[in-house]
Amino acid sequence: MEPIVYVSLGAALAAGLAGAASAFGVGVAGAAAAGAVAEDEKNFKNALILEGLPMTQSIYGLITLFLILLSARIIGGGFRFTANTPDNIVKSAILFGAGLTVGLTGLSAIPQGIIASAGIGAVAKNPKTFTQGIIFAAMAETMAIFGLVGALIMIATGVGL
Amino acid sequence: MFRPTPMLKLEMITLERYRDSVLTYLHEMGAVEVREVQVKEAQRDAPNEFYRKAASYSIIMSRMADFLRLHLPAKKGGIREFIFPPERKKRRYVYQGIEKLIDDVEAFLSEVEPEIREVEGEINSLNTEMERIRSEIAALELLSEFDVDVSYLRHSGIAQVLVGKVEKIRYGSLERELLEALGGRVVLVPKERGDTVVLAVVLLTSDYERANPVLAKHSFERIEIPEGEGRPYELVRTYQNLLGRKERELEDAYGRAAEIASERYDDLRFYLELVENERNKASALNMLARTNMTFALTGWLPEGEAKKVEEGVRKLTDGIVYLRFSRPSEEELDEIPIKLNNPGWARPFEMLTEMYGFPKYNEFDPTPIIAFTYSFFFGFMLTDFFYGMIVGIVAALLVKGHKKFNDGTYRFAYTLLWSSLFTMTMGALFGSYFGNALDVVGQYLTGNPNFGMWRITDPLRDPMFVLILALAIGLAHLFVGYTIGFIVKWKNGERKGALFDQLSWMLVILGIVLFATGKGVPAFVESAEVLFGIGLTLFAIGEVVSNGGLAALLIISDFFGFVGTWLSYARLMALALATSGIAMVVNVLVQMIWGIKFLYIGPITGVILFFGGQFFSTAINALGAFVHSLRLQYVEFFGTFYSGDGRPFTPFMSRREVSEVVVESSRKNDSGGV
Repeated sequence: MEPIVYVSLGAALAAGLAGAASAFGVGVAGAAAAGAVAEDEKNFKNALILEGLPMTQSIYGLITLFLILLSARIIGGGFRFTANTPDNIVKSAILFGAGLTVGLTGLSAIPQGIIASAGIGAVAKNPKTFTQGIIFAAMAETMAIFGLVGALIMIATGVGL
Repeated sequence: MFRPTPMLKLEMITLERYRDSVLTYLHEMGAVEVREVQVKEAQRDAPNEFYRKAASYSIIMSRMADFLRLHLPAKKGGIREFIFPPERKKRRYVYQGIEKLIDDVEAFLSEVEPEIREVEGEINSLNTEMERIRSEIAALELLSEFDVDVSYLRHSGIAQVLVGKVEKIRYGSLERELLEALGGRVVLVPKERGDTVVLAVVLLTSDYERANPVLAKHSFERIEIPEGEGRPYELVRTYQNLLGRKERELEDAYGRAAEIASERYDDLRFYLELVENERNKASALNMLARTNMTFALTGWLPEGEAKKVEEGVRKLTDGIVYLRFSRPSEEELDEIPIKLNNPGWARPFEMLTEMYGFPKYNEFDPTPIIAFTYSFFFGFMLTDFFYGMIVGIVAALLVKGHKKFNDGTYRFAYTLLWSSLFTMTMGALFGSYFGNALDVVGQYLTGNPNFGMWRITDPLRDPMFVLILALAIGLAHLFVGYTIGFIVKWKNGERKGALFDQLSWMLVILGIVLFATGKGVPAFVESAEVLFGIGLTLFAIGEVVSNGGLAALLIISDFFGFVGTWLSYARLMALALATSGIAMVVNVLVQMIWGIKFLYIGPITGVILFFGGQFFSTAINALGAFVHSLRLQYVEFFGTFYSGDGRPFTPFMSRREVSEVVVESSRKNDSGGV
């Protein structure tokens, strides 16, 4: 494959997969949030924060997209891997791998949304469980964070910004 | 610091006639947690007539307070009110026994209750009436299809008129069956209205019994014809006038309610608080033991309060009291309530420890350590000078506004203020000012494309450095945890646990550190290997001792559990880079649109996008930093030593928001009959 295909696919998968997963997660939590607010409007602030937690993965995806584009100089002028040399193919494949890592680990937004929705239900019953609910939901994000760690290392040390 | 407040056990026996005043004294002081007296077959106290009255008045008054709160004039303020809430004035009350208090409350209620009930009743009846008028108007609108005087539609004599609705699809069969059942002695006047038919049925009164089942079968829904004369559209106007009049009356009633609310609400809150505290005080009664003449009370209190409690109680009872303060014994360790004991600078951080759980009495209180590590991790994960400044300014305002209340907002803001200092420091170290914004501005102003702020390294270009830093910090954090665990367990006599669960990992960590720092120095590497080996052996023995045959499996999973815990600190690096990443994305976007020169659209939208984006980034990254910094404390750090199984100290204490009580010791009121 041409280097540009690797680079574009990497960027697209990072932002696309993670973004879609975030949308699922926010969707699940949002449905619970609507119910909690119907019960008592005071739940709005807590429910909103919990609902927003699964959004982080899409942000990681977006950062990775930007870093891949910066690293390949699609942003900042002059695509770096125009020539189809083995070195360029290796580097662009690393960028592809970085993007795929963030995209796949970004799927953790879906279970995070499920945990957040349970947290919203719990907060509606007992507002004191708010921080605990956030911590439970943050557990699922660990995998996305590890994915981002891996991707950052791949981009910065494997290709360079 | 590092240990919960020393506690003493209190045992007290005194005369029954002092009970009310002693309980009130302890309730107002709020220094003792009352526990049930452990005497089998002890006679228990039950709330007397006055306490029961207090309970019932508190229900009545809180309902009245709810009503008045709805009609209080709207408060102004918003953000200012949130940051700088005004201090409530407390009204003094001289407490002379519950009988006097109930008398005062009754006097107040006799004055206020009729006023409130009257206006509340008026508002309710007006609302009901207006609801009725609205339904009459709706009925008249349906009847307007007929355009005859409504009195005809009410007609009943030899012939009778019934008006109602029926579904359009059922009308055909209704007409057929009615004509059949009544032998044609019926007139139907149908008016179609969408899916329904408004229908007037004229029949002989004597046929009513036969017609009724047919109408019911077709779900004929009868319309009550409103009172009055004239055609429906004329009558609608009359009813609308009536509705308008009622609305004005309702406005008046609301006005009067608002007047009563602004005049009486504060008084009502005051008396409500008095009776609620009495009600709460009664909850201690069934924990006491009593005889005909005496009562006994047991509980726990902080050592520092003992002298004051003793003096106070002796004075109240004229010395006729048996008092004993004793240090807790080994068996009582699980019983002792825990009150954290930290110097002022660390006290707001107790909130974070308490959220996880209290330490046991013989365990370590990690609050002072958390004050530093939590704030530092928060700062590491946010790592931006200006983000830190934004968080710091908001936190400082909230600290200033809420300090006098010492509420949750104050404590949270205080922890944020510390965190913001670390954020600014880390931001300055890594040269991050709204991400790379200052670099970009500098490059533009100096024309030097390589211009950059001073930094130890650029995290985005050298993430390995930040990763190693994060893991080193993690190792240090875990080492502190294991060391604390080791010391506490060793002191408490759990030597085996201290050696196998804590010392083993301490040695492993020391081994890793020596190995990492002493590459190429044979002596370092050798001693690292020895320490690592001893640590792993201890750990393996510990697994065998506690798990027997399962150890073979658990050794592997627990060892990788440790590795996982350690690597979890990589999130410090990931979130720090995510912050610079998002900030950079905002900056890149702003640079892209800055070039649009037409009508200055570029710079104008650029500035809006820049500040909007950076504020959004501050909020979302601060949330992430808060959550993950807390997680590192709760999951990774506490996992090394902390149980969190202690019982929190919940003193027998009054709640005084709007009232302030001066207890007057007047024994003539302590009749003993309370």
